[in-house]
Amino acid sequence: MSSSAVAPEDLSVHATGRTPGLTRLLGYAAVVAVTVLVATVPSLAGAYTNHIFILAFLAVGLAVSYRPLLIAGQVSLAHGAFYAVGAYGFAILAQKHGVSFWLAVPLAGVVASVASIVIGVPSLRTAGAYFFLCTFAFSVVITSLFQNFTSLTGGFAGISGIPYPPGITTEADFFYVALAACVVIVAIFVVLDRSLWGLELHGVGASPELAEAVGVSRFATLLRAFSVGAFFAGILGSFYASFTGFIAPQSFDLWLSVSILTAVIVGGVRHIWGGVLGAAFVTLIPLLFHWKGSGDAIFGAVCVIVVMFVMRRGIATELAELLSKALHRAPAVPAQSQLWATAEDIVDERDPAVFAARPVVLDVRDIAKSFGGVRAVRGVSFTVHEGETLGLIGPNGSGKTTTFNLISGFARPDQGAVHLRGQSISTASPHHVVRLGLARSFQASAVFGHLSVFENVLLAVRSSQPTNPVARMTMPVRRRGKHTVRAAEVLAEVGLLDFADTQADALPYGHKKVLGLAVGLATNPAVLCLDEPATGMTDVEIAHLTTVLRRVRANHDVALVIIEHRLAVIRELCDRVVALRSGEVIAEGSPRDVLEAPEVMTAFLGASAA
Amino acid sequence: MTFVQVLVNGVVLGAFFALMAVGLTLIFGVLRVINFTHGVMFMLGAYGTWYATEQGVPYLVAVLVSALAVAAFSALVELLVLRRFRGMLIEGAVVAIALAVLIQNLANEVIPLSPKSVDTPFPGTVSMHGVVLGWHRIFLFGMACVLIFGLALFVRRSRTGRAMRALQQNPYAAELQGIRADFVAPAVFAIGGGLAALAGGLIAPVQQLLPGIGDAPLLASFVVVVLGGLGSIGGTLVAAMMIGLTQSAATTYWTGPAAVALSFLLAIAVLVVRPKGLFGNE
Repeated sequence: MSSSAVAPEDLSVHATGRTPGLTRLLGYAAVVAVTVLVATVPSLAGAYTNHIFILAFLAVGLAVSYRPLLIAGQVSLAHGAFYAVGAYGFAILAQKHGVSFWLAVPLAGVVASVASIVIGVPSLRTAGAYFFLCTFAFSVVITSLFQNFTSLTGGFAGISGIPYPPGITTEADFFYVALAACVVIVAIFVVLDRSLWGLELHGVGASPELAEAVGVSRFATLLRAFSVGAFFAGILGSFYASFTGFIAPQSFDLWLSVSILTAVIVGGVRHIWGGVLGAAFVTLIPLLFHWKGSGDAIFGAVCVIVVMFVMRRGIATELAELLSKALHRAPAVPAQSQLWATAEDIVDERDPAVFAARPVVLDVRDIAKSFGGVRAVRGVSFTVHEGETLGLIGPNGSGKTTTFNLISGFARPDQGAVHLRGQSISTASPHHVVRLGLARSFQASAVFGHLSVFENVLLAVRSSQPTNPVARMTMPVRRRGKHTVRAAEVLAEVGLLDFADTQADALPYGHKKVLGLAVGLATNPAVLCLDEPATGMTDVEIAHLTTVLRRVRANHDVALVIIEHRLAVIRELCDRVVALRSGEVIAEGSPRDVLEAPEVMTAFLGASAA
Repeated sequence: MTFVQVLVNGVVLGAFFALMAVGLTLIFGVLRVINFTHGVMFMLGAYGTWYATEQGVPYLVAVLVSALAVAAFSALVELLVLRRFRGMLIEGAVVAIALAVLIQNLANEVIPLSPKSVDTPFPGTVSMHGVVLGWHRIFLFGMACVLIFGLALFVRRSRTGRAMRALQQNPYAAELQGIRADFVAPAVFAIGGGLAALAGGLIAPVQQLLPGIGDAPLLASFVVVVLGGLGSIGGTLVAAMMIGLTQSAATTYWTGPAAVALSFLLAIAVLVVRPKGLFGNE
């Protein structure tokens, strides 16, 4: 079993990511083989096939550039519109103003990207179906603009005579231009996918709140996905315009965005190859049968329905799972009863007076919050000293979790102030608060469900620290280094290192709660707020949790604020306790004094017990 | 055209949007399914009415029969396909899109591609103080009011309606109370699809029938539903009137295509201020 005394070399074994060398090499070989095979198409097949393949390359590019937003859980219907904006931007620049091809292409990307920021900034305030609608409405508005802004877009007549790339004369030559563009764009998104930003997208998709709580700005992450995706959609649009030589509003109907969405979902969102597979699948279907009339559409629709019936989470996602099962590489899952920490006794004789003498790290002053007519918190004040463990108790509805929300930036106090190390944080957003040194866990065992245990902690380690934007999007996040070692150390400390590769969702309840603690700890906080860390645990699990918490505060100079109904935990761990009732502090002092105070007994057990 | 005329046209258009959108919001609210088949159900309702009247069936009977048939078909779509994707919002939406494409293209093989029209039993127009309105539109408006009021009453008062609201508020708790989503879901789809088909049948006499007739109402009702706040019938009504009036005004004072774009722009503007729609609280 693991303990905190694991050597760094052992830790980094878990930090290298999941794909062993041989499999990865085979993967690269397969990609090269497919690319070479595809490259022979023009010499073997006819003009029709050639044409369809070029459209398939563009579709693959659209699918992989659309996927990041989908990973983060947001469905957009604007990707086709950005493709169209790029096409128009390119056509206007290259055909009307004679801008050279290789300058017009990136400029078209920039135009599309700017459009995405204009619509993204307001619409990313919403989420889910509302965001979906905003992007959809944007597509309709843009189409109307193409139709009616005749002086620039040519109206319904469109723009014709759009040039080919310099030196390219035949469609067979264009095939290689499109193939190259497709390969480059896929490669770029493979890099992005493996970066910190890629991991953050998965985090936002799994749990936007927890992502914010570990330092990820949901808004910035999504806007980046939206605008980077639009940039490449714009570039692909200019290749399309160049390829067909003619564009008009009817070249880009709403079904384009819908088919991009369909491609990624059919292929599977989880792995980038899903987008490639899905787009190839959706665009190459017509090639197989070459039917007249609605035959293609009917067959395509039936294919989508059948695939989704058989593989509900998409082709690549389900195939990858089958493969890892076949190779017996399924990661370990702890048994419910399996203990996660060796129960070494941590001697921690604590003298509350020591902490009382240390400086105040968190100062909560007279905060209040009402929801409609309910005054959930009415003027709560308390302080937390460096390294101290403070218990926050009170019956249900007494305002404990609301207090946590007010401290950690998830809600704004109506009055009062919160200071962390002298700095006001009452109006800071959650991802800002955690970077300043205050982390929190959630009552419901919140973890990033489909990420591995290791990735959960790594995301928290990385996102809570500032990273320069270029490195954030280009450097492989799982590469061995001080961050991966630190993540492994945190896992060792809480006893989850043996399950580093396990998907967080597969963990039993108690382990999940401990992972929630590890995620908070990984942000390297000065104050760690734990919302009911022991609730729902068995007595054995609780014994281990207390051991872990003792170890944590022995190893780090971290103040803990613990909300807990299991008063034994409070009595055992806390240096000081604050009791709340109906949003007000009713008692404060040593655990013994507070737990035996008559007001507290009344609050917990009712008037008759007093 | 007078201002009052624009207002009246807008209200009638709004009532039509509301009738179309209310089924969509019901299906989303209760089952969390973005039902992209709503447009083809509308199309089937319109063409069913046309086909039946061609066979000599009286118009009102034709509307009713085709709506019932489409309602049954809609329930079947849920039973056979969409049920498997409950709880998977995006995957379900993609499958619904594929179904819509499939149904539309299969229909294209059967229905005539040339424009068709249906005669109304309420011909002629009424004119008051310079405001002109076709009798059929008045009938359409009245039917929309009756149907939406009836639906609201059904959802509020009936046993099945209470089950639907329970599922909307908390599917898990509803199941614990013995409400089976598996039983309620086909009913919800039947109501939603049936209402869309009724809207199609009712609009048939005042609009030329073309195979793609369902696309525009589908898009408009999406905007209405989201603008109103997902799952809220009252919000849907208010949003439908807003969109109806905007389109009526824009069509009159500006151009037709701009009307749709303008109403969508309005929807974005509202969502920026109220990110969960007018009456949404999810």
